[in-house]
Amino acid sequence: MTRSVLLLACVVALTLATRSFHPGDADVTGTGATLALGFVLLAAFYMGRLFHAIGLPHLTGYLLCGVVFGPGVAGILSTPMLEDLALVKRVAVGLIALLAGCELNLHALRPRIGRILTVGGAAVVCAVVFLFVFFYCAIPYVAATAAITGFPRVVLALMGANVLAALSPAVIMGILTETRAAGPLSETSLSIVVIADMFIVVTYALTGSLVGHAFPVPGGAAESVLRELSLHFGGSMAAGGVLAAVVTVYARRVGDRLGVFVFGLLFLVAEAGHSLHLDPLLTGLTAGLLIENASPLDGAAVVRRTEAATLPTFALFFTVIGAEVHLDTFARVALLAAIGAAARAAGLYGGARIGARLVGVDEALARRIPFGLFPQAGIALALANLVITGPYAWSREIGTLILGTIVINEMIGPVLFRIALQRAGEVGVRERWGTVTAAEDTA
Amino acid sequence: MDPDAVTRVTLALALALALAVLGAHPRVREWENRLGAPVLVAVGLPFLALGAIFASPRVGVLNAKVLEDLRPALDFGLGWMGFALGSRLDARRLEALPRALMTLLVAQTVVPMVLTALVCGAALTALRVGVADGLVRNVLLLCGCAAASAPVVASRFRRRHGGQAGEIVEEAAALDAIVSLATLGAVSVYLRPDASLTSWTLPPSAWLLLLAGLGAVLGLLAFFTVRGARTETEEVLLILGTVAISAGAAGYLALSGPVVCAIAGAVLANLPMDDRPGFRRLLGMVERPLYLVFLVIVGASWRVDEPEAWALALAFAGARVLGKLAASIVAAQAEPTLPRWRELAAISIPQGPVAIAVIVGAASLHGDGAPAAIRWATHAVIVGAFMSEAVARGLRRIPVPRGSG
Repeated sequence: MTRSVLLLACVVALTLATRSFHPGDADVTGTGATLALGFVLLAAFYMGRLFHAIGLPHLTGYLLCGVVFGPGVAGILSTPMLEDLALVKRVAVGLIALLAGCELNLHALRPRIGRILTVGGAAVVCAVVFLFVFFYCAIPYVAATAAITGFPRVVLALMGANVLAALSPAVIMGILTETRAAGPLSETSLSIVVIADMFIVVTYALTGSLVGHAFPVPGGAAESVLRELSLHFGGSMAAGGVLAAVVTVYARRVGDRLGVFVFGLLFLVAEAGHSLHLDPLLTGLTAGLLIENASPLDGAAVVRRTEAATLPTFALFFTVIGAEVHLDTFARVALLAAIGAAARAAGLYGGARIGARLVGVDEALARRIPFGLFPQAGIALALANLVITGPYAWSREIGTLILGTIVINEMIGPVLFRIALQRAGEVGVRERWGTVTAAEDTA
Repeated sequence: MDPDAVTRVTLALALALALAVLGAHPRVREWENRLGAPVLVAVGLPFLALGAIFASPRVGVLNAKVLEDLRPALDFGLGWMGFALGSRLDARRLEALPRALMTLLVAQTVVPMVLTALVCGAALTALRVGVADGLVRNVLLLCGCAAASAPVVASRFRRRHGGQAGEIVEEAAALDAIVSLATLGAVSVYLRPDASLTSWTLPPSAWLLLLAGLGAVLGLLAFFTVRGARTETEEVLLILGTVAISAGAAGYLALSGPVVCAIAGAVLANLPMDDRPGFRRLLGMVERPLYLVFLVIVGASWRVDEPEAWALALAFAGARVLGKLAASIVAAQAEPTLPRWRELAAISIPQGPVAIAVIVGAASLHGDGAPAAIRWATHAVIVGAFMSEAVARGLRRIPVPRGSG
């Protein structure tokens, strides 16, 4: 632990000293991103170790690393640096989603798919109901929405509930990888969050369209939201199909350095997909699902051979996510956000328990499943970002409230899920992947 | 971005990726090893050509904006190459090698560098590049590039012939690259492109100490971080982080990223490590794909339509080949344990990949505004690689009379 503290201090001191050389008006395009990349990787790694030493997930350490060193607090990671890392973040989202998809064997899940859909469905529906009530009651207390009543108020509450109902495959994958957990809780949680998030993205297309109708803006964006999101959804899935096909052909024909190749492909998807408005999460998820379920490849082998890239990816992604949290903004909505997080947790917990009882899930498992649903990160943040940058008068304030709730869930959720995995006895069950990877990848 | 441009960018990036896959195919690598040619000559041309095509106004894929976006990747790639090179500098191994290595190294670096300085200096002066336009800087950079030999060719010789001579030749080729990087380091310290790039005004000797000190500190940081890795995955993260922070820190100080990273790599390589071969394998894992992508970016700034660039290329390639030939004769005569001069020349004439890294590293010190002479020098180094290879192959085909040296 002392070693981690000392090395973290060295990395911080070195980065601060380096930045002191830089005259304010000089151009360090590229260099800033390179320094930020190195700093994020090293600082997140040691912060993760420190958190692990005190019994908390590495992932929470990464998130807090971003918060502490981001523009909101210490400012070592400046806003331009984070903008420069946006591409790397998109690649990370794609990789996390691909790995999540590769973990889901639909054939193996078939006997349990009814249970998964029932538990997940009940949890999400209950969470949406609780969150709808929360937003409906909170709207009068938010300055920008205080005057909104009737149908627009219902639509706004529905949209907010939809966004906050999003779960987090990225966090679940991160925790499962870090703890090497395997078992019914790990599998059920991952299956529910992956399926539920696809459902959330589709329903956001609908609620976003409803918002367009309820709050018309000059330019008539009302109809285009649905169409655009449908195209975005379909296009992302189609791109995922192409990605799966290319990975399959490569693995069978070449096979060498598959991890580097997959990373390169995801880089391409992130760069081109950004211009084509494709979602790296959906693209990666579709690709992973197809690789595992519709190709001759073994998804677990793909996961194993990309494992060398997972730790840097998780560290980078979650630190940048943490750095994007603006504590000053959060402080303004903290109370309402805490109520929102409580409403969401209550909805998910109650719904999951009801669903579990309906399909007769074992009591011990049923009690722990909700903890896999609490964390939020990637997709929720992406949707919150859509809200916050929207064209409406209330966009910033409602978006900030949503963001504040996500911040609470992203900090507390991973800790709770890790505890649940420990209590379920699933931690450390999975065989370590790493040692095989480099040998396979280096010819 | 309009839909046409999006399609163009997507297709172009897909094509680049497809080529990178092809370049990494085991059969291509096997063919390259059999050919015994440096990577630039063996598989690099399509990547360079691709970069040049993508950058042309009609295609417009690698435009200024995209190149700016790719700048972190370029900085990181250069840093990684420097780090990998530095980590091969193992003092214990060098101490065990005989005196002939020093003779060969001095001959193979000093003679071509002096000849290149004379010829390229004259050529650049004739092309109206004055001292104020960076004549000394460009000549020094070309000298550094002239020193670099291709390690793949030397390794092939060692595999075939073995023995101490093979080891010496291979080690000398690796050290040539260090000399090239040292030249780049000297340029970044003594001929700094723009004093306004940092908030400190220091004399060159202080920048030199800063360069060495920063590299050493980062090397120590790398040592303490990497030795704490519990798995290979953690080791990958820590190496990635160390190289990125080293390249980034060097950039902030307007020092050369590859040089700082090479010093860090050398410091790390000379401190006790548990799994040195594993560490080297990890470094090598991404070196090749990085180099191939790096060539696409180099290709984007490659201009083949400038007569000045072709004139400089001829001067550079000619001076370098003659210098290496002369050095081979001198070294073979001075040290009988070394291979015959023709063999030495055929090994040392092919140009190493570090030469391109040196010239691009120098261009990157200028940010977006690299002067025309550096563009010409880049062209000279690219063309020089192909011309050197042609000469080396010609030399290998000439039958050696029995008993001749």
